[in-house]
Amino acid sequence: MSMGNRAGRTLAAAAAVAALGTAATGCGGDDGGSAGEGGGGASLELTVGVLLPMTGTSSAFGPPLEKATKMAVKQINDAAGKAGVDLRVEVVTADNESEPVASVAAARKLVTEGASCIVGSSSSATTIAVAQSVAIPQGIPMITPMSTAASISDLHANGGVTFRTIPADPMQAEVLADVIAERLDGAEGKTISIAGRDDAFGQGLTSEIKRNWEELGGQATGPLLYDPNASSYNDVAGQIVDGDPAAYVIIDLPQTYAKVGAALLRTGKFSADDLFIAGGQPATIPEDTPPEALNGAVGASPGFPTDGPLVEAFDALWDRSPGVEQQQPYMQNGFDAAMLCALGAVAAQSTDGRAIAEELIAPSAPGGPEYSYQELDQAIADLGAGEDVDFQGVSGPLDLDDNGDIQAGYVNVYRYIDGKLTVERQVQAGD
Amino acid sequence: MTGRQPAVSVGRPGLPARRGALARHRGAAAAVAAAAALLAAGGLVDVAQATVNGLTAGAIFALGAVGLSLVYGSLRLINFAHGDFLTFGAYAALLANAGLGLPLVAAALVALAATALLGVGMELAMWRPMRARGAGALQLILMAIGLAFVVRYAIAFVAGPEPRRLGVDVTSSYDLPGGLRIGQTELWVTVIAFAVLAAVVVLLRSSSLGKQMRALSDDVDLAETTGVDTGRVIIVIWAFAGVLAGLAGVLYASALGSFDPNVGFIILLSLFAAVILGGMGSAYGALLGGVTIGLVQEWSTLFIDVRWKLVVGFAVLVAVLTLRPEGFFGGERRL
Amino acid sequence: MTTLAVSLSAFGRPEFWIGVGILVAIYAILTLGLQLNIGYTGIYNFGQVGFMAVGAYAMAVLVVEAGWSFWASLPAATLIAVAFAVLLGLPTLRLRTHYFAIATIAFAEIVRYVIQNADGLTGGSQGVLGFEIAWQTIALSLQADLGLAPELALVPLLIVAWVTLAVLFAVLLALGRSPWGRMLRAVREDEDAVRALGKNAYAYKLQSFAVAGAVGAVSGYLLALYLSFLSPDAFLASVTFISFAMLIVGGLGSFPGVVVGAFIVQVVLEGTRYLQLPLTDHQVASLRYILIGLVLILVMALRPQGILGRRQEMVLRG
Repeated sequence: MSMGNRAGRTLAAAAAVAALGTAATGCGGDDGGSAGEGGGGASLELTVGVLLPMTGTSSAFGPPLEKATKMAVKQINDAAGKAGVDLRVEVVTADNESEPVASVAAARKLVTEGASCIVGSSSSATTIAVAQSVAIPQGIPMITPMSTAASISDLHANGGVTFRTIPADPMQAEVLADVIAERLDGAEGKTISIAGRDDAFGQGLTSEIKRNWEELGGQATGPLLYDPNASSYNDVAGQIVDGDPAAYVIIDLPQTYAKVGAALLRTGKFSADDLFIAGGQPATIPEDTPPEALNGAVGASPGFPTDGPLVEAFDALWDRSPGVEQQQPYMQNGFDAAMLCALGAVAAQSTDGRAIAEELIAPSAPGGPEYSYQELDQAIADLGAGEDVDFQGVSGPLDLDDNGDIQAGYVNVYRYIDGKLTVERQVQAGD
Repeated sequence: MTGRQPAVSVGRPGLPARRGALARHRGAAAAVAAAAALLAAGGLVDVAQATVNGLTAGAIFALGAVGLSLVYGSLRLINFAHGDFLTFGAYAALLANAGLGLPLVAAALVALAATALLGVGMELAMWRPMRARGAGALQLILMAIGLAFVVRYAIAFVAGPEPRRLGVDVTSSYDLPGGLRIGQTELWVTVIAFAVLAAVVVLLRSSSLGKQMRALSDDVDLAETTGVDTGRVIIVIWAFAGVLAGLAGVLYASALGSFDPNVGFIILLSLFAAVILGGMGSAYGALLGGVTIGLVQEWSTLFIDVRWKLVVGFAVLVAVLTLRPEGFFGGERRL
Repeated sequence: MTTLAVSLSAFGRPEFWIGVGILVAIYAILTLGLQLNIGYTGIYNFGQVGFMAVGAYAMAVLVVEAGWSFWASLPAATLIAVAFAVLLGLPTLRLRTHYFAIATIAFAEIVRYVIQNADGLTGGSQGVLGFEIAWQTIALSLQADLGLAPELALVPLLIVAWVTLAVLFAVLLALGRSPWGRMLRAVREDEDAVRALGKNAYAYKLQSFAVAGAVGAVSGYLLALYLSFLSPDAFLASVTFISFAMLIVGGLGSFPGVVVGAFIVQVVLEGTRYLQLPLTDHQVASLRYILIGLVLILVMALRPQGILGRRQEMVLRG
């Protein structure tokens, strides 16, 4: 049998597969598409896709985020029943492995399973990747509860499908710089050492913080960006503590910080009391991180309210819902993101991605009665009747602007005390 | 494969036996120039601190590289799974320590035994039958890569991807004279590693088994004709390589603080660099090569951004392959 | 029934097959280069993903940073990849097989590290975006012309990928049968004999390596268009190893085998994403790599000629 015949047969087989795939589209119906376009009272079956960091550097946030979004969806379904609106929401999830290429594959999987609104992604690099490769080309709205890079705001101009329920980096950085200045009694003449992991998260925040600190009149060494997968960190630690700076700013995620923190302690010149950090930190110091590397450190993270009746209700709901017990930061933002997906669908009277995207901002922004998730049924009823509402999230008033961003929000100033993240106060930032 | 002279005489390890005075001066001149450049870049304290860091890293590399080199020398097999043998050792220690409650030293010994068993097991199950069937280089390379995947991801499957810690102290450090510091665990790791390396050198030089291993590693055919029981010695080589790799893994995991299933694979190329620098097939060469690579990587941070540290190892690898593939410290003459 | 369930619904959706189809084409193109090197010339190129990365990033940087047009960047980036191949091959191709293999792995890792850390040029881990705008315009108009629903947005890319594969396949097949191709095989079988005939075996190896570099770069462009976003994590060494698995499953020495092998391995890999075993997501991901490892071991041990290779093709002596 000559090579030519084999080649020919193989090519034909391959072409047949491609043809089958394309032909199937003619016969198959459209799934997850526009079921129920049209006037009020139409039947809406919405699938919300959630990108979860179940593995990888952000894995601490995966299971709680899954719980939060499922909680939200249950609330929505109950409320829709109460309001007499024919809305049913389903959740599908996929592991984004905390990294961009896997996130794109995961997002594609969600779309394959019928998702027409995505909650995600976690880190900024993964959100940007998913937006570029899936959300924008396919017109699927995505609402990230955790990504704070400033550059994400620029993506909204392209198709209007990217949104956030969390304030972006510049807000955190400004507050952190102010907090450092406060603790050091002014920024003038003080030199701080800035370092961070070498990725979108670290690169973005370290440069923002440096800019803010210098605007306050201080000086900064760095930013020293280090490889999160290095074989040792003694050299990095040595450079960070060099020159006895007045304070340290380290932007990192827990798994790498475990190693960096240990190396810093070994230099003998480092104390966590002089350490300032940002968001992305878990509620308790992880087991593999030496406690002395974090206890006493002060941080600023995009906030979530910590008291008030709404938060208490959310906490109670959390405690009685199935799933992990420990809450993490950003869970409220995830809860709100899932809510927005549903509200957008009701407002658009459609489960088509682009239609939802057009109706995501209005329900969150001022205009109409203020409802929280505790009055979800009234919110859904109003939206179903074509009226505007102002949905108040558990993580804040939401109020998305034209770029899908949150302009006014809370920044939590917190401290690790005895191994636990304790919010000391909240600053309201933005306009 | 034609026979070769043993690349290193049985005299002092590491020094080329018959180099001329000119060559020796060339080496010294290069060393002086390098030292001057380092001091200009960093100042005495920084250079000394980098040297301390480099010795710790280098000792671990040396432990890993010795086994790799011996296996290549005797079997012409590049054990791409060697990095994962290190990972295996670290996780075996974790299982014995955290899972079975053994004290750390006992757990480490268990890890060494387990890794030795892994090496020997693979020899009996895979390499020996493949050699008997006349398997070629490509087959062996691909099987080694396949083995690497299986070991690494089996560990990930069972133990999960989250970083783990052996129960060692990662935060205390000792003051050394001159304002230098070394972590407490790092000091122990360095001392143990060098002690074991010294024992390895003695073993290879003096014991009959050691001599047989070296003979086999230098020239298999010649060794056979002198009556060495190659089958048995190969098993010993694998056990030896396994023990050293397991130890390197445990020490590395201790010094680093936290480790995950990729920990061994990340340094695999640095191990290759060490072996090639030292000359493939030469245990002494691998030892010196490992220490050299460790030092060079740490010294490089005085000149360039820390992010490039690992690349320095790779760059050394490519440079040595390009300029002097037979290595610097002995090893094969022929390419 | 519940312990081992496969979510068959995914297999019925066209988006799944379109995604698989594109990846099969990308990997098949990458592996064609590998076949030329290993199956024909006998040089163990373990750094093929490095050429994919060089090609993709060269194209992206030219378009995004230097403002070139996408179409002009393609030949330029291919030339850059070929230049890398020549620069790498010149000193290393005269080395013995094992050393060459290690050198190529080191090359691919160096490329990846440089991409990751030279973030002024390549965006580092933040990645590069925005290079595919010219392509998107065409793709969107094709989509409109064919009247495709939004879920089928990737069909234009699927078509282009397979056309590219067909063209490169034909080219390489022809090259393989040409006198040049015969010389390559002669180099693999008995390099000394080739030299005795007065031919420069080294030059043939270099040429073969350069072609593999060019082909690798092309697969990089398609991957870039598929991801719409380049990041160094897309070019890990495991890509080369998966490509090797495809190579040996299909069979050494057989270009059609490359396509067969790529299809089988990719379907298995992508299909495992939809398995519903009582395992965590990460365990399934680990299982995927264990499978690749087992494929490498078992094929080499039990059926080294793969599906379409011939037993004689396997050089049984190192």
